[in-house]
Amino acid sequence: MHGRNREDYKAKFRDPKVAAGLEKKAQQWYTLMDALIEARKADNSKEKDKRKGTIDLIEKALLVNPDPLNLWNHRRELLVLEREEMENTDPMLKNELDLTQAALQRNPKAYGSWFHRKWILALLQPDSSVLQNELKLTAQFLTLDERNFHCWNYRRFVVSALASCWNGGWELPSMGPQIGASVNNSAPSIPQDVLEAEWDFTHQKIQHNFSNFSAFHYRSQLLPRMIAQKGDEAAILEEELQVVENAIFTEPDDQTAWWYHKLLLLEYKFEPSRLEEQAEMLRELLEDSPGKWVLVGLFEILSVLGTRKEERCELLKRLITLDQDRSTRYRELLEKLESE
Amino acid sequence: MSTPSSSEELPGKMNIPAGENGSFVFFHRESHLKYIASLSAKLDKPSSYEGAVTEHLRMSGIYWTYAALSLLVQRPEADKVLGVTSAPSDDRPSIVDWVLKCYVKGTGGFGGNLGHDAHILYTLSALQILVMAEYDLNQLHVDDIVKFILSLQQEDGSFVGDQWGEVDTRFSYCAISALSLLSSLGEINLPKAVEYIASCQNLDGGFGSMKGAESHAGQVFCCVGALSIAKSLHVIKHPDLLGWWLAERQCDSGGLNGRPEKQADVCYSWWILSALSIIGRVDWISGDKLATFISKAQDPDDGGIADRPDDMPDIFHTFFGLSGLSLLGKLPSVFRQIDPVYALPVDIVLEQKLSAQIIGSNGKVEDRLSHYEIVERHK
Repeated sequence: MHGRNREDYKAKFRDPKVAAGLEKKAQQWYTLMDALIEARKADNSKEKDKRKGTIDLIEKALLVNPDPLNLWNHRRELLVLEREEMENTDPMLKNELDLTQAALQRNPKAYGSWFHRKWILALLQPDSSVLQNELKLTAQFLTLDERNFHCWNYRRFVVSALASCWNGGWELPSMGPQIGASVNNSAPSIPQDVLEAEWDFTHQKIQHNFSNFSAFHYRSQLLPRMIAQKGDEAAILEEELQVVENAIFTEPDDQTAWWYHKLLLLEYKFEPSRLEEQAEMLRELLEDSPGKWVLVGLFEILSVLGTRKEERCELLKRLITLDQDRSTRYRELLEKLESE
Repeated sequence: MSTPSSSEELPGKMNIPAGENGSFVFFHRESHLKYIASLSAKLDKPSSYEGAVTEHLRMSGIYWTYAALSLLVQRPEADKVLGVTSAPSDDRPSIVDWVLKCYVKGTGGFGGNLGHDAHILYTLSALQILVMAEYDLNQLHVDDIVKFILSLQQEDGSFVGDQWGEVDTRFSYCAISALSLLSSLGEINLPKAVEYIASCQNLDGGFGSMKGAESHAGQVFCCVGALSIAKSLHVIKHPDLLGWWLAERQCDSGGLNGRPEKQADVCYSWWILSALSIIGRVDWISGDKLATFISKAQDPDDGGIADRPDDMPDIFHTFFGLSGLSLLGKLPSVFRQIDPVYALPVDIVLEQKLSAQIIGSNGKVEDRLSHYEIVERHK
């Protein structure tokens, strides 16, 4: 069980009062489930009152446990019927947003709750003011857990909804469209101000904590779009190098920014003189902080430059001793380099 | 593979070598057996809180239990302990009968429990249980199951979990693995499925839950495993980068995490080691340190393995911890071994003639993988 201390957990169940309370909760859950299974079997969903009663009952269950997909499915069946009889769907939207928010506050990692929120937005297709509010909500959730990948995925879903929404229609081919890294695909382009707001958002998150790879990842997805839509590739890439340098000089042993560094080197072309300059900075950093990641970073830069074979071999030899868990990989790299 | 006649020949507690100079850690086999044997009776009780909150995923729970037990005892004993093929008591059906009752007619998939809706997650778990129980899958409504899985594939090649439309690369793995078990992989648009998975690879080498999502070790297994079954490992861009990203999941504690700068967790022993096995780079991490981490997460008294040392065990982490030790080759050869592609015992994979592709490591592959199609690593 994720993050439950063994002794505390066992002690809790040994306490007869707690154990009796949990037993009661289990029995209540099964009673509720039986009632819902009966309601679904009876198929009286055509009767508005009974339907409403069932929807409320499901809500009660989901606030206890948001994981059973069965319950969300049942709810969606009834909502689809409910909607057919509604002129104004605003109350339905509000209700589903409130329910999923409450469920997510209890368990921010429940797949079912995040998906249901996407589903209701796709069903009702609200205007951009609702979507803008969704962005604010994800920002709030990301303050509580900045690495929650469900929340980041949901944010990208909202942005892609905003993009197609502003193009005059909700063209979401399936429930999971996201902003892809490729700018040549058929994904709608993102309005410039939304794109820049997202770009700034990742910057804020990174400045707040350099160790947030989720934000770096999103930035890596936005970067080709920024370059395509804004132009001036050299200036944008220079800004990225500086973001990385800031991070690695603050926390040289944290691997987060080093991965962003690696993917920049892999995907983009930099002036050799700029890379030489960065290599020199890392050599200086090594004197104060001879950690593994600085060695790795320097090795990567020199590999891109294709120069200083001896220095690279030396770096690998130091890594073999310093980072023994991964020494096989360094040995393979060394063998390959020496045979070149 | 040597097969002892009885599990009684296996020791209750044993040493696992974990390093040079004869270092070792304890493996509490007997406690784990006790833990697993007590599990089903406990969860079945209507008064069990743990049973109630995990009711919706019982199908996967049973798969983890059965697969974990399969790594601790020989086949007939696993059947007996859990009551897989024959009912253990009057008020409990055999597991096979129970699984068959979770089949949803009209949809063509299996639910997570009796009366629950069909979903691809539980459909794969059901098929995995049945195949371990040596149930002849041809007795199922194979055409309807294949049709169900077919209906889940989207235009872009991705898979949704059920009719409601949640996209996830976990579902791509489930769909492809399930179809392979049913010898029906040709029924879907496999090139499109492969194309979608490839589009989920990120510039750091890893894979995410959908296009654009952050790399996550669990999703890496799903994507690499699916590509392995689809014999399309060549679409992985920079396999060395992927291997490096996976190797950097090992923390100082020896345990593996799922993303950069996150806490180590025993379940990643499975997600990462299986992916590393498939791409031929298990030796890029320290197996001794990982085995030590897993062993520290054991509950020596009541059995089971937790997410990390001193935490409460559960069956999910027990299965993935045991599988990790198996993939590291730390369990003696009298134990059944786990297959990194299908997450089934190797002997079952061989009997079913399941195929897949793996990357050879400098011309060598582990024995358990030698029956697969082997592609060479590019130097």
